[in-house]
Amino acid sequence: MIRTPSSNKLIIVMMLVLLLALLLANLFQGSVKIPMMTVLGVLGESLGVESTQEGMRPWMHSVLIDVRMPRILVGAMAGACLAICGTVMQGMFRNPLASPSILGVSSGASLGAVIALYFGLASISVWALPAFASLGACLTLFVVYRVASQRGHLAIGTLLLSGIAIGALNAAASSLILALSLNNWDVGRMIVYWTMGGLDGRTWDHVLLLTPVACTGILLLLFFAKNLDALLLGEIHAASVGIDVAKTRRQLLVISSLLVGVTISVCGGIGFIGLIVPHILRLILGPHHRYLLPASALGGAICLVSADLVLGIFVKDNSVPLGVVTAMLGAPFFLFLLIKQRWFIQL
Amino acid sequence: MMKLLKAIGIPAALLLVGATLCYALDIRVAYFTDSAFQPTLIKGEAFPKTLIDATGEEYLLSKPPERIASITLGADEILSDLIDERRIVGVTYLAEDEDVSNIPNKFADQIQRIHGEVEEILALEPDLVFVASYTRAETVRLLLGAGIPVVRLSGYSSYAELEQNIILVSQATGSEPRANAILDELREYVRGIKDRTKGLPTPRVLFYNLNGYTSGVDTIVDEMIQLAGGYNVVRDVGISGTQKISQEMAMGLEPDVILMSGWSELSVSQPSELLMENPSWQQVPAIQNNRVYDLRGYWVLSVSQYSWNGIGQIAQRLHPGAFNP
Repeated sequence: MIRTPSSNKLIIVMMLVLLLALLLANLFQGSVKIPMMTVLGVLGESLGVESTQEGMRPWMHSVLIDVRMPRILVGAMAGACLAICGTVMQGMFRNPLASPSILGVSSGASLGAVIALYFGLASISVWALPAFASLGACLTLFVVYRVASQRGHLAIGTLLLSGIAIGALNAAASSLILALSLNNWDVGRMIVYWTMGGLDGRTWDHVLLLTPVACTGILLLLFFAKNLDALLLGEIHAASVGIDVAKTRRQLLVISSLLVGVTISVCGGIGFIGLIVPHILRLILGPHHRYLLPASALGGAICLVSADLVLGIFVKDNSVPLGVVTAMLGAPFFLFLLIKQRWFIQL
Repeated sequence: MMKLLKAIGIPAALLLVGATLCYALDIRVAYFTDSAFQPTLIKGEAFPKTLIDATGEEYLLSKPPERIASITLGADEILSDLIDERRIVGVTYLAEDEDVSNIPNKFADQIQRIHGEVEEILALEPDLVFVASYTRAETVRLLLGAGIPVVRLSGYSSYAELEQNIILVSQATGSEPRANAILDELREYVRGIKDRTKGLPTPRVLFYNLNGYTSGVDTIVDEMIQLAGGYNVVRDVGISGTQKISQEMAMGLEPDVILMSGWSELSVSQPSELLMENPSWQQVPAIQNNRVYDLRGYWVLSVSQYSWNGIGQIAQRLHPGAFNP
C-alpha cells in the first residue's frame, strides 16, 4: 500500500464520515421502533427546526435525546480514549502488544473504582469514582513500568509479563472486595452492576463527566506525535534529537492513565479496543503518529459504536455486555499478535 | 524558581479546573450510585398529593395515576390486589414466572410485560412507575430525567417494611382502604398461626442453600421462622443478613429442621434430596428425623402480601401436628 500524507488525510476524513454515519445509524436502533422520519423530526426539533411530523410523541423525544444519544456519545468517546491510549502505549513501549488491558491499566482502574464503591466514596462525590479509577490506573502503570525498566531501558518481555502479573493481582483484589461486599447486599449489587459495564443507561451526566477529560486528554496526546515518532526509533535516538525520554514517558503515562481511568469509571471494563484499533490502523496508515493518533481516536469510536450497534441488532434483550463482545474479538487478535511475535518477545 | 512554580502551579491549576467543573456541571451524586437514593415519600391524604422521589425531587400527583408501570415483581403483586388492572400499562415479565411469581396468568395479555429496558418503559407513556431498591440506578435516573414520577420501594428485611411498601403503593395509587383491609387480614392470619403454635416446643431451624448461604437476623426469612413458631439457629452465631456459612458451622448448629430454597417444580431433583443423600450430613438431627423441606420461591422470595403465605407454609412444616391433626 502506498502511504502518502494526502492518502492518510483522506482516510482520516473518510473515518470521520463513517463515524458520523454510525452515530446516526445508532440513533435509529433501540428496543422500541421509532419511524425514521420521526427520528429526523426530533433531531430537527432539538436543533431548533420546527417539525410538522405527525405521530411524534413526547416519549420518543425522551428515548432519542435522553436514552440513545448519551449512550452513543459515551460509546464514541470511550472508544476514542481507549484506542488513543493503546496507540500511545504501543508507541511509547515500541510494542504492538501493549494496550491498557494487557498492561493491567484497565484492571487497575477497575480496582480503584471498586474500592471507591466499597467504601461508599462514590456516594459522596461523583468525582470519587473517576478519581479512584484514574489513581488505580496510574499506580498500576507506574509499577509495571518500574518493574520493566532498568537503568532507563525497557525490557519488552518483562513489561508485558509484569503487566499481566499486576493485572492478575488487581483482578484478584477486585474479586476479594466483591466477595467481602456480598455480605452487604446493596454494596455488592452496586459493584456487580458496575463491573458488568457497558453503555446501558448512560445519561447526559456521564457525557458531561467524560467530555472535558476526553477532549483535553486526546488533545494533549496529539501534541506528542513527534515525540512518539522519535521514541519508536529507540530511546537513544529520541534523546539525541533533544527529547527528555523519562519526562515524556512520565507525562504520557499520567495522561493515558487519566483517560483510561475516567473512561472505565463511566462505562466499566471494555477491553481490547486499545489493542486492536491501533494495530490495524498502523498497518493502514503507517507508523507516523501525526496520522495514527487522530485516526486511532476515530477508529476506537467507530469500533465501539459499531460493536454496540451490532449487539443491539442481534441481541435484543441486551443480555450480552459490550465488554464481553470486545474481549471476545480482542483476545483471539491478541493471540494472533503473540504468535506472530513469539520470537521477539522471548526473555 | 521555575521548577517550584511548576510544582505548585500545575497542581493548583488542575485543582482549580476540577473545582470549576464540579461547580459548573451540577451532576448529582444520586444519579451515579443508588446508595445516595432516599426512600420515596408521598404527602397528602387525598389527591392532589406530593410525591418526593429518590433524589428529593417533588412531583404533584393531581389525580390517581391511570397509566401505571411496574418493573418489580413485588409491586406487580401488590398492584394486582389493590387496583383495577385497566390502570396498569406494564408489569415485569417475571409476573408470569411460575417459580417466583404468585400471580402467573393474572394480568390480561394486553398489559405489556416489561424486561427492564428504559425505552420500553418510556414507550408505554406511564404516569407513574414503581421500581425496587435493587433497580439499577441508571434506569431510575433516566425515568426521573424524563419527568416521570417514580416510586421506589425499599426495605424488604421485615414484615413492617413490607407493610410500609404496601401502604406506599396504596398512597400513590389512591387505594388506601383496600390496602388497610388486606393488611388487617394478614395480621389476623398471623394471629391465627401464633394461636395454633402457642405452647408447642420451638424447633431449631436452619435456612440453608446448597451454595452455603443462610439468612440471619434482619431478614424476612428470620422473621418468618419466628412467626411460624421456630428458632433460627444462625442467631446463635450472630449471623445477620444473608451470609455464606461453612458446611461445618451449619452442621455444628444441630438444626432440628432444615428449610431450603427449592428449585423449579420441573427439576428432576430438589436440594433437600441432595442434602439428605450427603454422607457428611447424616448425623444432623434434621436429616436423621427426615425433616428437610424445600420451600417454593414464591413463598420465600415474595416481597408483597403473598410473603405472609410463607409463614403459614413454614409453620405447617415446623408443627405438622398443629395444622394436620
